[in-house]
Amino acid sequence: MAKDSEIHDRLSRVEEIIEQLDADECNLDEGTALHEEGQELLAEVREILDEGSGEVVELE
Amino acid sequence: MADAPDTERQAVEPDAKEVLSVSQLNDRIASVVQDTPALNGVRCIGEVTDLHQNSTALYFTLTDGDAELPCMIWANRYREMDADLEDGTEVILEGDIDYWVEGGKIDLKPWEVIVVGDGDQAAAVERLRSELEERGWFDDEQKQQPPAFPERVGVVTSLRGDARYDIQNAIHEQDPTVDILVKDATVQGSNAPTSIANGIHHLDRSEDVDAIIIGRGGGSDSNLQAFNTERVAEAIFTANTPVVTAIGHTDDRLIADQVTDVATITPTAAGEYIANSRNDFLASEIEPLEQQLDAAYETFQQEHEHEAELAEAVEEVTAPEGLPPVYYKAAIAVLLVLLLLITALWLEVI
Repeated sequence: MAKDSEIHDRLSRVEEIIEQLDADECNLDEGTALHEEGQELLAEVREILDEGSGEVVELE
Repeated sequence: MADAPDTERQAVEPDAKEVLSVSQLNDRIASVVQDTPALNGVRCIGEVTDLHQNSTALYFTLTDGDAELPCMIWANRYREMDADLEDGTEVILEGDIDYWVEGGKIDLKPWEVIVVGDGDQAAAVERLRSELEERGWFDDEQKQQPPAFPERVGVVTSLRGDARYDIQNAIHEQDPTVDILVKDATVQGSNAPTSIANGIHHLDRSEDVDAIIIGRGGGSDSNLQAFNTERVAEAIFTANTPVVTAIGHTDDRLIADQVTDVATITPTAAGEYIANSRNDFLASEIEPLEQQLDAAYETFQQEHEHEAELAEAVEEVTAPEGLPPVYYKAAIAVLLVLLLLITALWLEVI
């Protein structure tokens, strides 16, 4: 399966988190949790991009 | 021949020790061609393809669909002929077979050209093109968008062709993690349409394949005929997987390119198109987003720390002077106990 939706969903959520932090509508603990969630999502995107062995299979 | 005398053998076989230059060997081939009566004044019927012209000569290929022959007419001779040639014209040519010594190539140099009509092949391709257009097979609404980050790409091409390696290298240069399934196909000749169509169907049935590339290097119009057939067009059109064509050609309008989801000019271009550059994506999308996230949090944190400091300061300012209330409460309690004790002593209760 293509990685598009997994990557897209995570990046959309990170953009939401940035907007929430910019809007400043939560307390310090909630903001810290959002920041951690965003960092985790971006790390997951890097992992998704690394998935796959890049092998070449010949089919006769 | 084994029993022939030595003198006779020397007459038909070259000296085994003789080493010829390329020019000498080509001269020898040219003399054989020129001295062979069967190759002079020949008449040949076929269809004109790959026609191009410069100031000195007109070049084209004569084909009957299964075989082809290069042809050349000097420009001044062509001007004198009553013939208007274009790709697809069916002609009878009369002329000599010639061997071009410097280039080591054989061709037919016609002195007479008889136009028979529009070629059957060209006419059939145009009929099919019109029919498929009417069916809506070329419509943009039918096109599927290949994924930006495929995990596995299927390639239909000849396993031994250059196109296969061009596609493979281009994909892995963009993203080395993409898996590639190469399905061997005959991409030229009468078996090619079935072979290519079967390759597309096979990869399309595999749920793991995110996109299919159909590739082959360049070739003459007749070499590319498989990509002008209904069988290949139908396989592309009915595939659930997005299909990208990479049929090395320049200005040809192949039916496969019209029905496909994305047509690219070369196999390398197809490989570059199908896989986004992993490094470019990290640099242009992920890293800036990481920076934005950190910056947003830093600003958020600073504002909240500032607010906390302000609240503390306000609390300090608004607090009453003197001891904290608990001390007063304790003192009152002690005084009450003493009062009770004195009252009890005075009433002689204790």
